[in-house]
Amino acid sequence: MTTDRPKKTTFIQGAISSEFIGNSIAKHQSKTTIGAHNIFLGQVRADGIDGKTIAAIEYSAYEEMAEQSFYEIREAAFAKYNLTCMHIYHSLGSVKTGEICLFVFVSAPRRKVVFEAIEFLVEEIKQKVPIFGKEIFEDQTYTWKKNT
Amino acid sequence: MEITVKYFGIIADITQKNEEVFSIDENLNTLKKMQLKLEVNYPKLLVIKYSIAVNKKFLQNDILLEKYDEIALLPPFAGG
Repeated sequence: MTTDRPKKTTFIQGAISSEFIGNSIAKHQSKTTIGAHNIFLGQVRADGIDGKTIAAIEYSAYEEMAEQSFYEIREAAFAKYNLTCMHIYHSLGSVKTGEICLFVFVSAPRRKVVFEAIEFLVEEIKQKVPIFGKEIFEDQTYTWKKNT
Repeated sequence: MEITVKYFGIIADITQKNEEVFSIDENLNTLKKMQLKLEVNYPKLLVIKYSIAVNKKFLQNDILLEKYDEIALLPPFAGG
């Protein structure tokens, strides 16, 4: 599958701020064919493991391969759903509990496809993109996160 | 001929490095032979789950290694 859509950079250093998300929504006000947006935000959860609580996740990735995976997932979603636009951002580096590490934003003329598209995208990202997460506990010890 | 093997996540913890360059000869010229060598060098690889990408594509079958190939050992993904 090839299109003329440019390859985008998906990774953001550190947490994704509310301001960044807000600005991203505001930028779409000029695109008046859009009638529906849908947004997924992944937030770092303070899981407890063996009596210890997670304080942050430190994300790393096989970046060149991950960007290629994101590109393929985007193209698959554009082929499957009638979307006007789509944005995916994922954190690298340290993200504290309660902060946002994944921002997926889809827009379409009508509402039905945005619900389906967002679920498709989030599931594909979790399964197919080589991103790794070190779960740092409050005492600075760590374990490696696995998606289930 | 040399090729690079990249390590990520828990695998970089096991190998204590992010990447390593190997010289390729007839004893080490396929992906299976490379995997065996890595598992001998780093026995902990035998007890964890990981997948292998060559030049950023997942491979299940054995292949002949070529100059400039980039192998990556990838532990379970944790995006999102």
